[in-house]
Amino acid sequence: MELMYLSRFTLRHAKRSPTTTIALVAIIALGVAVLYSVRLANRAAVSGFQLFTQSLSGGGDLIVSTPSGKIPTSKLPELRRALGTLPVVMLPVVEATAALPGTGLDSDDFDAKQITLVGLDLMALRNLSNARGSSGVITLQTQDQADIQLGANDQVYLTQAAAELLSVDVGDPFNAIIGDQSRTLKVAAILIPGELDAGKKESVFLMDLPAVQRFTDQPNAVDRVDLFVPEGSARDQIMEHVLERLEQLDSQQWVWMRSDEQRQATQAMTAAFRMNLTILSGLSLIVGLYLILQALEAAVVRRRSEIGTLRALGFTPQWIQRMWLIESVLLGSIGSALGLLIGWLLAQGTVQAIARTVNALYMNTTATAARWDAQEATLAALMGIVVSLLAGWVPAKDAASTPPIQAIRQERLGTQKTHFNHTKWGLLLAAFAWLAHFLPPVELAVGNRFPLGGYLSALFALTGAAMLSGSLLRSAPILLSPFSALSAHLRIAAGQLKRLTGRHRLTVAGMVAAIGMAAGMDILIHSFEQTVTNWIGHTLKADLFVAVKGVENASNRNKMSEKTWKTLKNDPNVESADIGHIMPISFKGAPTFLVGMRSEREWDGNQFIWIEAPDRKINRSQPDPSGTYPALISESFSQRYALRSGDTLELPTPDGVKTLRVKGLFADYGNERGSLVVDSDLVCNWFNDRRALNFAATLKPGVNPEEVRNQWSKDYPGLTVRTNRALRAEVITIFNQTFAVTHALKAIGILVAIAGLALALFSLVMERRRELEVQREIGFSRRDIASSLTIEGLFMSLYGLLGGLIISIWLGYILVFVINKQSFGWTLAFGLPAGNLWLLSAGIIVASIVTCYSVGYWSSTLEADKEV
Amino acid sequence: MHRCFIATITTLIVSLNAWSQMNYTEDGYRIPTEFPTFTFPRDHGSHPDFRIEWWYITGHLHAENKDRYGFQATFFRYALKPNAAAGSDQFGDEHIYMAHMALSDIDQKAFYHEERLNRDGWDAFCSTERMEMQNGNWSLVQDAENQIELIATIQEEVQLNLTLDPAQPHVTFGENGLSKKGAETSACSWYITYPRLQIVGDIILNNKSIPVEGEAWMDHEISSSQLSKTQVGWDWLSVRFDDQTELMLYILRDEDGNPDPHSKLVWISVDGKLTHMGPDDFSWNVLRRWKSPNSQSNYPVETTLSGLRPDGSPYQLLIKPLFDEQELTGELGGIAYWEGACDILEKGKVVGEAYMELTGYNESLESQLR
Repeated sequence: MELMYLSRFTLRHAKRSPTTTIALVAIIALGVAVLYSVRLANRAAVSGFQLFTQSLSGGGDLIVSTPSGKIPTSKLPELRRALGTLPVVMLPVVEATAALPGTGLDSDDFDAKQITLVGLDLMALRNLSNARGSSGVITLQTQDQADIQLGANDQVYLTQAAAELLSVDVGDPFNAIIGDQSRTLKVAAILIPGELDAGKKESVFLMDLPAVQRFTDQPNAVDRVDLFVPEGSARDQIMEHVLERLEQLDSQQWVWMRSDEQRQATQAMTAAFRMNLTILSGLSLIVGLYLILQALEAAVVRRRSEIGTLRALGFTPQWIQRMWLIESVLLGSIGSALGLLIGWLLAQGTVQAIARTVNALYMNTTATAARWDAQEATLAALMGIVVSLLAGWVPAKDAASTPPIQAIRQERLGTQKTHFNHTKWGLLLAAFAWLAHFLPPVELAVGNRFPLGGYLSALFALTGAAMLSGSLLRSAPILLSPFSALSAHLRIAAGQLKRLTGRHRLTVAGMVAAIGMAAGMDILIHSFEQTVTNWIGHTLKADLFVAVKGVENASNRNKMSEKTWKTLKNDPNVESADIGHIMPISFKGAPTFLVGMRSEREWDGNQFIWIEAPDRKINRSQPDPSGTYPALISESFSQRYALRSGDTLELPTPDGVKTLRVKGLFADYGNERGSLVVDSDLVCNWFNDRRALNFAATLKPGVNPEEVRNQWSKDYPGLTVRTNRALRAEVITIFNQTFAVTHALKAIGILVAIAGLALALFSLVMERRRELEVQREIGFSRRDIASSLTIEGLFMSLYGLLGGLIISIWLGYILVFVINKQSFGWTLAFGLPAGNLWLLSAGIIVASIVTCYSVGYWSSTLEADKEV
Repeated sequence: MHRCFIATITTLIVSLNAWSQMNYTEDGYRIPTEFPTFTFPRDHGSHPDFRIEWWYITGHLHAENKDRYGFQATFFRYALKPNAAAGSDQFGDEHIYMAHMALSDIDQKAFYHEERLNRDGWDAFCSTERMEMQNGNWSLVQDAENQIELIATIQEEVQLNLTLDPAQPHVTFGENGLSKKGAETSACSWYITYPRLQIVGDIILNNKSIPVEGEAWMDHEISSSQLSKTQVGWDWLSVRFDDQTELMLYILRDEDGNPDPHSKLVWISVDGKLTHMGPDDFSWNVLRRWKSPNSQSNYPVETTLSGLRPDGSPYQLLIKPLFDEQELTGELGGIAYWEGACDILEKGKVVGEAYMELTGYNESLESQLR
């Protein structure tokens, strides 16, 4: 029975006015699509890495490494001894990065595609069949059953994906940059897809372990050892014994974790980043909530007479409310389903942008496509349905509580008295927003913090501002009154604004939220850009910057050999050089960087932007009498490990644990994992690694940097040599890539604001059909009606814009000083992007005028009883 | 003798057998010579100047409840270059180490086996000081008292903890201390054997610890090249008779199916005296074959051996496998072979325990060998 009524009540309306139903579904779909696409793309970009070597080797059960640096092969027997007779297969792994010139996303040679080069003992790899059984055998099955040449320096085994990327086949040679050398490699075989998961999706080069060791100038070291416990009934028991034995290892020399923990650690590394994106995309859905609310309210208005009839026929208010809610859920479900589809399509584009950000900040990801994900889809669809239900709640209540006679009279919505005090609640929320921004971050994992207080503050501020600005709209007719005499359009507009409805307030509130978000985001980006530009100006002073190709990537493992950087340093054109020996290390369980800075310059304000300057000149290579060495830490490092000037820290190195004292704290926007700076010779000696990651040369007066750049590029094809100007441009490009997603979210905010305004006006004119008829009868032309509606809409838009801009300053402040600071640990200089904000304002105003006039023009011929 | 590992590397070896000069192969590996002067325990250890070397143990185990088991433990070394160093920590520069482990659960007719393949570097090595080998978590170590300790696992199902004590001194097979395997100068080895080792220890089978006792045979062979071009496989047998004498037999099969003239049967008396006999001195007849469902090889698993003993008395021995399914499937090395525990019967009565190895019955292997 109920179904029949539902069918008549809801579906009939949907059939009669398909445009509004489609619009409503589209709005929900848009919100769900944004949320789903961002989360999906984000998941793809982050999981693109996901230790693809695991899929290559079938997934070790445990991963053993050292707290910092590589594992000398001479120490590996110690590991076997520790495990005694337990039947564990051990597989040492070396990883390097190979840059492939000419495979970048654009034609710029610097933009070479990077592939992780995995060095495994190709012979011992076969032993994995003992641990995994023949079905999970990870033997090196190749398409052509090629003989494996142990130790060969040029034989590479490619996954299908890598072969496609390079357009090569078995036997073909190709060039790759490994270390600082360009090398010609040969495709020994292509791995059979299916044998290895990696064969299907990841671009991986596999070489024999000694070859990769030689390429990285570390012939006697490996990065980690993967342990495999045999499958079978005794597996759990053996695993228990293995864990017991590993517990006995000296924790200063060995670290280990289960591979699922490693995956979690990888995910934890980007947890804050992913959560930030989710919340930003979630915020756009909340703004979408406002749109849905608008649209459902408009539906209540249009069907008021129908509701009145139902009430008169004896249907209870509860029944009517239930019908509305069911309709909301139906619309939410259809919209969500559509949204998932659109979201999935959007994600294919967004994944590239997010992958670039992840690459620049965290690690190498090879993701190029986002896969459908049931978990994410459920989450997004649930959000869509819940938001629809929430948005439908108020109109449903409103529809149910309307007395029959009032409903049939088509009285205006929102003219009823309400006990809800917007001003009071707005002020209260503003106070909450203020208090919330003092909340400390929530610790997710070591070095990962989530700025809960910042987000709460932003939410309270947006909601509060939305409520307050709606109330402030009351001043609009007062502002208009001096000009009322000028034209009838103004008088009509002023008259409408005098009789403010809930819809007016809601429209302004929605615009405040949407514009506030968009402008707040702009302030963050501008502040960031300004700070980074200033930082670049301060730190990038040399004439030429040299790095191994592809080194911008946070997970790059390529380095410059000692011979190369020494040759460059001794070039007769070079006056002085700064050389960075940078080691990715794990400190207190979280990844960070140890930087050995080789420079003739002092550790002073010319080299660093101080957050806390050292109190005296530092003798950087000498320990103090207590045996502690001086160190500098970046702001991110300080935030992540709660260290300040004067504190000491124990740093595990291959040469034993070293005690360091923090002498100063400097700004560094190069990475969010933090940097610990120690004298270069100390770092090189402790890690027995004299390779360099980058090299900055100041040339002698009169030397043309371009000429030296050209010469060095020719002499060292594996190196990227950039002039000061080129590097600055490159940094800005990376910066823009990083914020590509944020720009997209900003655009969605503006779109929502304008769509909300259009919907509101549409509902208003639907309510005023009789008034419009009267206006036409007394001689108003279509243009007159459109003009008066434009003025009314423009005023709403201006209030929304003003409120949005004001709240954006607070949001910008929160984003810069709370959310960014707590997430990444970077201090940014607050900057207002005046030009952008002017443009945004002008865009909103123009779009409002066009939208309002269009709705007005269209509505001027509406008949009083026409249903749309 | 025996040894499937030879098959794995035969292609390489055959080319080297063409000719050799003096005591070195063409590419610089040492060739064993007559009248070797061994110094023990050093010569129980590794000889990296030779290309190929293995330590091969096969034995029978008996539990208190009369359950019977057979086992095989093999450690191979293969040099990748002449004059390879003994303990390089560079990956894979010098040697490849292969190892096979198998357990035959006679009563359950269950066969457990595992292969290992490692390069030198860290997880596998052979000492040049004494018998001390490691391959992953498997190890074979002889102490100063000559006791040999074998520790090994087979996947997660089996663990062997065995102590092997020589019940007789080791012997060296071959005329003048040199075991010839073919006409080529380099086709020979030094062949040192413990024919009877007393075993105590335990095996852990499917989480159950079983104390065992028994006897084993151990070979240590050193060479740089063994087979000749025309040989396609071999049958090998070791027997420990109840009367405390032993027998070792290898039949090298030529491609025409006939035994190579260098095939040998050796009797070992109670006092360790060796009597070498050629292929004309014995008769080897196949009674029954078993076709492996894995490799499709058709192995002659049940045979008779007949001839005259050193004292001139005639014998006819039945070599009967304790069960058929004792094939190592060659998942890593690529070569399948049969290596199984057998009883030796004479006139219907069990007179000893044996282990038999049958290689080269896989067609693909034969084609490779040719």
